[in-house]
Amino acid sequence: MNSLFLHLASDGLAPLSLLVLQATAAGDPAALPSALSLGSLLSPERITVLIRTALVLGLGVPLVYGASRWLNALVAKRYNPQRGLVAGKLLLYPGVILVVVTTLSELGFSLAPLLGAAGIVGIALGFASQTSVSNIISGFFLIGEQPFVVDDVIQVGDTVGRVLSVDMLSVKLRTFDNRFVRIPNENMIKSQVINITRFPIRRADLLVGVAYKENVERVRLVLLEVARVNPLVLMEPEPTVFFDGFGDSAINLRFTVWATKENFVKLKNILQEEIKARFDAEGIEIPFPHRSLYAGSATDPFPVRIIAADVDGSEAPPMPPESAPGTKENTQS
Amino acid sequence: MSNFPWIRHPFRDPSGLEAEPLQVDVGPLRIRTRLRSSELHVHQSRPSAGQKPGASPEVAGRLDEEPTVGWSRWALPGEVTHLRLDPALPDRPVVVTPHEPFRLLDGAEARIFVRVPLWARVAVEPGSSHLLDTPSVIMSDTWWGDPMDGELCYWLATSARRAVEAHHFEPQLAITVLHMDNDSGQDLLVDRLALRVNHLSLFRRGYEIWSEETRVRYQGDDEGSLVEMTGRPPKEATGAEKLAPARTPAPRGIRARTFARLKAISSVGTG
Repeated sequence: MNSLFLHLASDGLAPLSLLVLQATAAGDPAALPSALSLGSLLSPERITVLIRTALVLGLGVPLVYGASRWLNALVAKRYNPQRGLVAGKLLLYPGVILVVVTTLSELGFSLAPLLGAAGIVGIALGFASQTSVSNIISGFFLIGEQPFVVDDVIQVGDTVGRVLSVDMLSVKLRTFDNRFVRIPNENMIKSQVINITRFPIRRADLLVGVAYKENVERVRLVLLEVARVNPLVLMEPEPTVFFDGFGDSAINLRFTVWATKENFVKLKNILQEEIKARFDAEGIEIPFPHRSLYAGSATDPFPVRIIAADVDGSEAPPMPPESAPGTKENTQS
Repeated sequence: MSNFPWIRHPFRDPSGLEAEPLQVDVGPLRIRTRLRSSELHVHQSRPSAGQKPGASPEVAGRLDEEPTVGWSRWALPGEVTHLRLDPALPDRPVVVTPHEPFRLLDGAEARIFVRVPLWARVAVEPGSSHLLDTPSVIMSDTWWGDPMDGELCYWLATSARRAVEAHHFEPQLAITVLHMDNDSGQDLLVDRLALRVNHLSLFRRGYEIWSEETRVRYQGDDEGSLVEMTGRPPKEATGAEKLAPARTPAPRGIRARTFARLKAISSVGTG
């Protein structure tokens, strides 16, 4: 251990830790206080080194971060926020490494052994951090393939949100109820991602059920008229009404309209309200689930027993047993 | 035509004592203004779908009531004397669908006249900036081109007349002239047209409002169309004077999709 650090010492400007190590290694603990004496710590050479180091850090770090932000804004303005983010980080990471290396160099560390040690440590860390490495590599794929960019709205599993950033390790989302979601890049590569806002227009499918008594052709015309008078509905691609099948209680129609992605949610809301209002005005029935119960015969009416309380609170006399069938429920509406 | 709206309207009556609420109709659009404590209040209204202004006394009565909500407010830098309404063509291209599509034979040329609803830009004088930019008629949106990279346009069903007559002129409508040449080597079915009206300036002759003439040379599906904004009024409006510049001036010749229409993408899928 000592030999490793001693290799890092440069001539004349050994860092503080090396002075301590040298004193300890010499087997003379009594020499330690003298090694740490104020005079040796505040020698003119050392003060110069400290000032230079402070300058490198004080100027270098803000400069790198500032330049990164400037490049981010410039590229985002010219191209898109995603490219801005990547460009900013391409400047930031090497910049930070450069500042760190320069600082170490100023402090007297020899870089060659440090890099050698870093290689060994890197291999060890690589084995220990396979997940992180996988996320980083996945991040490169995400940045290169661009299945989504910053500001896109995506769905991953049950999570829907707007992309805040695509970073080296993870993708950050903001959900519409304002929660912050961090998804590791590896997950993004492995799972299905739906980009909701990739294309400029979207189709809204509205399922509309009408009573069996209604004239389907008339309902179709009414729906198309609802679409026609709504300015948010795109006239092309044309709104359409498809016969979707015979339901338990209703004829099911699929009403499809197109809207720009910006108007999609608003339109979907408004249109359903307008359909309800228009159906009410036209007398078109939107049925709710029906269930018919038969007491064994399709034609005979149900015997109904009416229970009425007397004015004094006592109940009416019970029906004779022979007239009370087993089933009296009628939920038909 | 006394209700020509594209003029300066004084806020005060000739006595100059009291600023009166002002009301200007641009077709179905009604713009009301009032001055209140160095503020300008502006209200816009249109009859709802299916109603037309003056269609019935009941509707007309409702329109004449001063609204209590929906006013926009501007704090003014100083005394203002006039309200000015400037016309403008829509801010996006307009897809025109002739009621009766026609075929333009190879080598043929044709002129069609389309009435495009104008937008009203509200300004006060002294001053030049527009406070409000609003359509006289709210047109439906439509999509022109591929669903992945087309463009958002307005939709206008029209007769696409081959001639224009005096009764076709209305103050809220500009007559746009499109001169088409078919050089494609095949017949062209004209059932959809994209008029890039946002690049056109307006001209006035009396109470007639014209846009500058557009010439389109169709060279086939793959070639697109060569669109030329001539920068001058059509020959039918000789002597017209410039009324308003184009919203977004364009180079005189652009290649754009004018006739190609949307492919069938409206088939239903469960996705």
